[in-house]
Amino acid sequence: MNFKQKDSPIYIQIAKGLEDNIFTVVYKEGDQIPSTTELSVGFKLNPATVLKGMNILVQENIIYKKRGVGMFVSEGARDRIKEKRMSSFQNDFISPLIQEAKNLGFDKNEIVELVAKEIDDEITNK
Amino acid sequence: MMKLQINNVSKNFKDLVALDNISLEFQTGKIYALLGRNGAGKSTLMNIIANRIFPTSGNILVDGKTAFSNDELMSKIFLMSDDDFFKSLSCKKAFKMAKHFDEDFDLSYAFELAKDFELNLKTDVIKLSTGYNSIFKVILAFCSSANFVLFDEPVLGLDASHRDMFYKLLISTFNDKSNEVCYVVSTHLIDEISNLAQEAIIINKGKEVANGLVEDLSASVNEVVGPKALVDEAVKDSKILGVNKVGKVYTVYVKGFVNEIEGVQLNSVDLQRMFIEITKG
Repeated sequence: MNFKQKDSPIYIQIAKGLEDNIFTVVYKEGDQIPSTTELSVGFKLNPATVLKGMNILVQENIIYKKRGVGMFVSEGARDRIKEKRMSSFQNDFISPLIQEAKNLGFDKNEIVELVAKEIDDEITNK
Repeated sequence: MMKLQINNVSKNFKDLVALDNISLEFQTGKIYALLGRNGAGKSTLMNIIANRIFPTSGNILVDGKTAFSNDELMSKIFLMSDDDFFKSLSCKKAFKMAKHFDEDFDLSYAFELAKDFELNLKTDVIKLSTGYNSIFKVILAFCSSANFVLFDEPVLGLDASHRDMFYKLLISTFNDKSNEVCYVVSTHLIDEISNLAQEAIIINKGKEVANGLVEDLSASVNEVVGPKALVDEAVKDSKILGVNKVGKVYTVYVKGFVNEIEGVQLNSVDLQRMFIEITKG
């Protein structure tokens, strides 16, 4: 993970980074995630900022705190992340794609064809 | 939690107003960046806090009590400073001398850090290179038992690897001392400190010009990019800080509000850019 101030507030980037790690199963449900101390030293970040990022995930019930032990990945965390990402998929990925395609002058059929071709290529490559 | 308050501090050197009515509060459990251009008054302020020089007016309070001429309270404050008390001593003897002044000085940690930084303990302090002189002083600061530790340009002359070590050490020592310690770091390398400090104070020409959470300070300035006519329209109600033109593309830095206009990009800035724009001229 590489944290740049310009992109979005650092605590949001921490939440996003940890969420990515849970979604891609670097940390499984029930696993302990690194402590605030370890993350702050490892990434040279203020510990309060790290905690603020973690608290976002606590609120979304993606991680939970065991008193005196540390932070753990909640049961069902991956499903919750998936659900959240599916609901923002349209906004985050489809809308910018359509916008750029329109700028380039592609019509609806051409866009659908291009997407279909990409999917076919993906399948053949596997 | 302990508090260090700077109350209406001013400092004049003959006709020069070095500090103009500065009021700040530092709390243990936080890391602060103290930023300012050359000659802004950062070192003067730190020297006043550490009782090295007297303010023309104003005072310094620790937990509500006046710190000047109170040895007990002054021992809660440590300034990593420019002038060396230890010039003619070897580093090893200097660390032992520090232990003599501050009985809770962590001598074994000092030797451990000297080893990590490959500081030769036999070398006389006066013979250290600029980089190793900074390292020597940084070690003194990390091992001090003071609650308020002021770093004055701690990475001056340090190479990239040693700076990286310093920043990690800053966070790990801070974590170890949990809420017991407050670090104030004065530096010109804003990009390197902006993720480490929770709050930043910017002084310019002796005056405080910004103070708050790092993320709030950088959010107070926006970058507006586009063709001149559109950018002009977007920023017509804003306070303009700076303009940069490359070809037909205008970049304008503004404080606060911007009109949203199609064809104009509105970007956020980092702390360094914010600093440059608000300390101009």
